[in-house]
Amino acid sequence: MTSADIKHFLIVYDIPTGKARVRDFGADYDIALAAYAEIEAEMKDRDDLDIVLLSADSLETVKRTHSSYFETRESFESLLPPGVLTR
Amino acid sequence: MSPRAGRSHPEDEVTYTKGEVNRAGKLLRAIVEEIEANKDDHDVLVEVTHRLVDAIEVISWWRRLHAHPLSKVAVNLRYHVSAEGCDHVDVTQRLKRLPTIIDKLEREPTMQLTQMGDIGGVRARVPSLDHLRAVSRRLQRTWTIVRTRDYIEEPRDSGYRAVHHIVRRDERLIEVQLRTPFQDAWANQVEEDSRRLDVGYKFGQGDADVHDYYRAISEVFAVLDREEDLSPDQVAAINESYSLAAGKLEREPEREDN
Repeated sequence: MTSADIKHFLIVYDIPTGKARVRDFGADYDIALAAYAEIEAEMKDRDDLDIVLLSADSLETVKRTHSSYFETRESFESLLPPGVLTR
Repeated sequence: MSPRAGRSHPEDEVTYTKGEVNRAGKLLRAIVEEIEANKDDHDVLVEVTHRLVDAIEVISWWRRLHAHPLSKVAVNLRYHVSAEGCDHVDVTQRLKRLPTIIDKLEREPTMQLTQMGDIGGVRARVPSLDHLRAVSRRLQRTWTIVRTRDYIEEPRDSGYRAVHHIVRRDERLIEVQLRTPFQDAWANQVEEDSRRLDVGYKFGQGDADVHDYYRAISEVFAVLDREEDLSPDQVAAINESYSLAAGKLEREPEREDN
């Protein structure tokens, strides 16, 4: 795998609603980087957004490694062996 | 540098020296304070904002210089992760968010921007502790590693566990994070809590009960990573700290479903 196989995803995460909008730039890193800087400058006063450019072989990988932005996040409690947390 | 194919690289259009980059970092700290102090003075704010935009331009340019070295490190890391027999190659690279760069400069007043080691970062989530150690040893054998932080041997006060290597590639510092799925789930949950509740839990800020819970969970995950059995004390610690922290974490907030 070379860097040409890597896809670039610009994540705009809306903190209050917990939803991420994802823009897929495919393999074009330069365009993705320009868009990242541009939207960041445009939204610099928006404390309610988290904007980040993440790159991997697929969006599924990004969702695993950066699950804090996605519904793939596993809560602590769900990862404990059954019966450990009695509440 | 590889030969360029047609498209001009924006980072080549202007150049700044390392001194200018570090000065922009320092300037930014001063500007953030000035904005706080002059919240109600419109004219001052307009003038300060102009300087802020200039400083951000330099910092953004510096960050951009990390993009291609970061890609090279990520490509190599994918190779090493897969060579150690990890079935999924879960490797993601990211360029640090500008607000996070600014926060870090604020938090660490002596840090020079050109010395910041994690502007370009790549994270690998590997299936087990054994895989993590094997990949880590491999990187130590084959890469120029500037600094290693073993947060498994010595977890951060917050409970954070992982192994970080800072490597130098094409004159840039790039951070590599290696995590097991438990360590990664822990870090992502704390990240999400910090963001949702707007409390710097990941930096040790915020409520002590919440931190006790984070640490207790991290201990338990470390035991599970080592494939050992939980002791009754650890189970008790989880339940006790959970009962004190649960309400403060608002773990399952109601969210709009559209």
